[in-house]
Amino acid sequence: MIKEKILGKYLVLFMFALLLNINAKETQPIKILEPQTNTVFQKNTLTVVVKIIDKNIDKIKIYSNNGTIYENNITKKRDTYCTLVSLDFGENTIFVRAYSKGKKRFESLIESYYKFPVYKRYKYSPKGYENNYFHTTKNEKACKKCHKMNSNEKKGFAFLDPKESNCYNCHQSLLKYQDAHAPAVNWVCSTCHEKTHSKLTKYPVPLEINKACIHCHKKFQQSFRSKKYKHDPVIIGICDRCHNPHSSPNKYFIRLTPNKLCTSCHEGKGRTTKKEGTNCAASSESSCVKCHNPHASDKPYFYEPGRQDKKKDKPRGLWLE
Amino acid sequence: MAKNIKLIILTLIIVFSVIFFIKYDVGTKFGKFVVIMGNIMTNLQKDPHSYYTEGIDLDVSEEELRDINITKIAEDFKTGQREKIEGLLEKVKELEIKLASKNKLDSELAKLQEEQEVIAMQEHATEEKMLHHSKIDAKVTELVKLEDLPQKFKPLKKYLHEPFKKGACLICHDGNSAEPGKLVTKKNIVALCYKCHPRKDKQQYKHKPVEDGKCFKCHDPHQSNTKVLLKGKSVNNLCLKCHDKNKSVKDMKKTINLNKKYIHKPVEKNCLECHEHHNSKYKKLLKSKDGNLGLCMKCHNKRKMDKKWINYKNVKYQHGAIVGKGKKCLECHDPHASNHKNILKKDQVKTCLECHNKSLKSDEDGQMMMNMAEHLKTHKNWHKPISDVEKEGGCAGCHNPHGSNHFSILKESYTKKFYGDFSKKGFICFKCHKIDKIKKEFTTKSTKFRDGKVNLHFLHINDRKGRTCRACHDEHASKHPKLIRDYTVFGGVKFPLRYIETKNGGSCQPACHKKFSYDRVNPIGIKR
Repeated sequence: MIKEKILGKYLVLFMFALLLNINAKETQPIKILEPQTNTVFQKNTLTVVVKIIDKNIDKIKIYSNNGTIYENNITKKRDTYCTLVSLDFGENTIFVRAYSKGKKRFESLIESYYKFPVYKRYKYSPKGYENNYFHTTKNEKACKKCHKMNSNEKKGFAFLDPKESNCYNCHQSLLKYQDAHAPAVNWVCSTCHEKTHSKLTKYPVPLEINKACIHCHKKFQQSFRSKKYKHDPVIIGICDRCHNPHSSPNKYFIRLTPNKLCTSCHEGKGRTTKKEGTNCAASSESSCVKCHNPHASDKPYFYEPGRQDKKKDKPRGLWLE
Repeated sequence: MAKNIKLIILTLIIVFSVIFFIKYDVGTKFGKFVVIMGNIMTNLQKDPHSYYTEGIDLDVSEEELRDINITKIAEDFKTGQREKIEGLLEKVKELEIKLASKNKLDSELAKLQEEQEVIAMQEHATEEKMLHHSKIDAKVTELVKLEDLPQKFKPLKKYLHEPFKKGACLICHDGNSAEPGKLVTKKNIVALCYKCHPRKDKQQYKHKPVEDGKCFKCHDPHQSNTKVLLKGKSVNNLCLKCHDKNKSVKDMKKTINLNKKYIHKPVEKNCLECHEHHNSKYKKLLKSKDGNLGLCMKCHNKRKMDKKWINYKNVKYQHGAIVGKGKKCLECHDPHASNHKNILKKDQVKTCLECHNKSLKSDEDGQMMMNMAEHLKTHKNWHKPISDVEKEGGCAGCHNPHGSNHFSILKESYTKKFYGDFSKKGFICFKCHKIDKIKKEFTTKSTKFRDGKVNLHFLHINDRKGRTCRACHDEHASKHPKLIRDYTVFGGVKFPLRYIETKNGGSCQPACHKKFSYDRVNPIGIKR
């Protein structure tokens, strides 16, 4: 009995010793403020924000999913560093490593998911991934030192010089492509990203995207309504399924080249682009749209009016020059 | 022993939980370890993309699609809204009917008032003619023959006073008195006149001589060469004896200056076309109520007046200056004479800016109009009609200040839209500007807005999605050359055009496209 009692006492002592020992250990040398792990992104870039706690660290390397390495040399002037990292479709693992004098001191990994609404494979994020918003009051506090976190947009006025916008510095990568949407290029973000309906973030995406679109593109609404047959995305009102509201390398800001865009959903069941006896030449990039109107039509299968006379080879409809 | 083991386990749990709470690092590490292990376990069991496999068919077959009638669902949704709209429309209709009936009553009232005025004027005229000369015959027995009149009355003039003509001098003069020409009454002369003539001072507003009882200021009691025994050569001659500004009459404030370029015709012809001579119900001895509009429209509502015919009633859009509460016509015009065209009080543009120096509410659509005076002040490049008032007519070059069937009381049709069609006839801009500017695809003369030979106006204004003039140009004034706007409104947002002029061309970076530049001499190569 006595032995056991002594054993128990020793055990308790040992635990306290452990506690003390753990307390003495040093803290993390860097802290990753953003992004949180397992977040879903709907754009092809993400910004990694790193805060340096240990002053001995002189280099940070970030390894993106596709193998590119981003290096940051640390100076004593500031303690937080933002790096723009490009993403691949689907799951991405990004490594953040901190070095001091050539030695690796710390490593951490960020997992994220690039959700792309066009491809079936990447349309839905898998379990465990969440939508995390950046523009929360907690996050903005950390950024306030270097960035102006308030929108300086005058309601109803576009900037004379787009670089004046407070949004420009961080979000300019949204507009690197050739064809850009006018409100995005002029940085009047509030036309779509209004503050009202969400408590999670300051600048949410509108709940009903089609309403934001129709606010300017009223003509389309009228023309679509009068038509007999409508494309499903048009009926539901998810314009952003095919169009990128910021910028795109393709005309009309469509997310992929016309044929790829169509076949991303309409694959299989003989809906290939090559079909003998028709003038749907796969070589021409806009071949689907030559005969089908992507929005609405009075004819079944969204045929363009005047489709029947085969003699004319000229493209028809709104969507072509 | 058993008790001790329990104690040990409890302490262990407490210690570990304390560690977890205090040392976040260890907690995360431990948690991470658990998560990673868990992931490894689950990954070993599951295929990572099992939800994409063919187990679940996400594709809907055509048969199923046929069953789902989406258009019907959409229509059902619509009809719910339609009923609401129809209900609202009915209400609007009812209100419109009520409004129409009210307008009718108003117009009838106005007509009745006018008729009353006419009748009153006629009565007034007849009253004057009804002079009872029989009174004279009854009273006076001694008549003086015309030959016996004193020398100063000879030769006799064209119009003679009735008693004077008959030689009944004793009606007015005292025959028994030694003093020649002494009047019968010791009181005012007026009392003598009003013995026969009806009173002229019944109405509220009186001519000063009438009020003072000085009939002889205008009338000669014996004879005259003008009608109604006036002292002047004509009515206007008589009036101007006192009311001319250049002839200084003491304490006379109500004068007019006729040494001016433009004179209102009735002023030259007859003052009595507008004014009453003795007394009147209305201010300034005017002939009709609300002096300016009703009176002016007695002449100016006739189509015969051609250019000076003013149609303010039967137009779609009326000018607030005429219809509203104010001086109406006299807000802008001088009723007598002026040095400015159309007898305006001031320079054409300045008269408009009298009121439009603040943002006013438009009667057309209830929106606020711009503060034009400030706009012209801050934007120095003016449209030619505004800068060259004498030639082009100022604001009235494009607007009809009396009312028009086109919006913004414009003289010809115009558009409010960003996109528009130019096939319509009578577009106001092309009254002065040549349409070649737009219609010619290649040109070297018609316009300066071209890249080499390529007409960039034509590019912007093609048939399908043509932009209107006002998309890029300000109609009134601008800070930039060629009246290029600072901002163009699209979708409720004002986008700057960012126009920069260079020696042989320029560049532009609006919301519509990226920065494009053009050059007339060394073309950059813009294509359609």
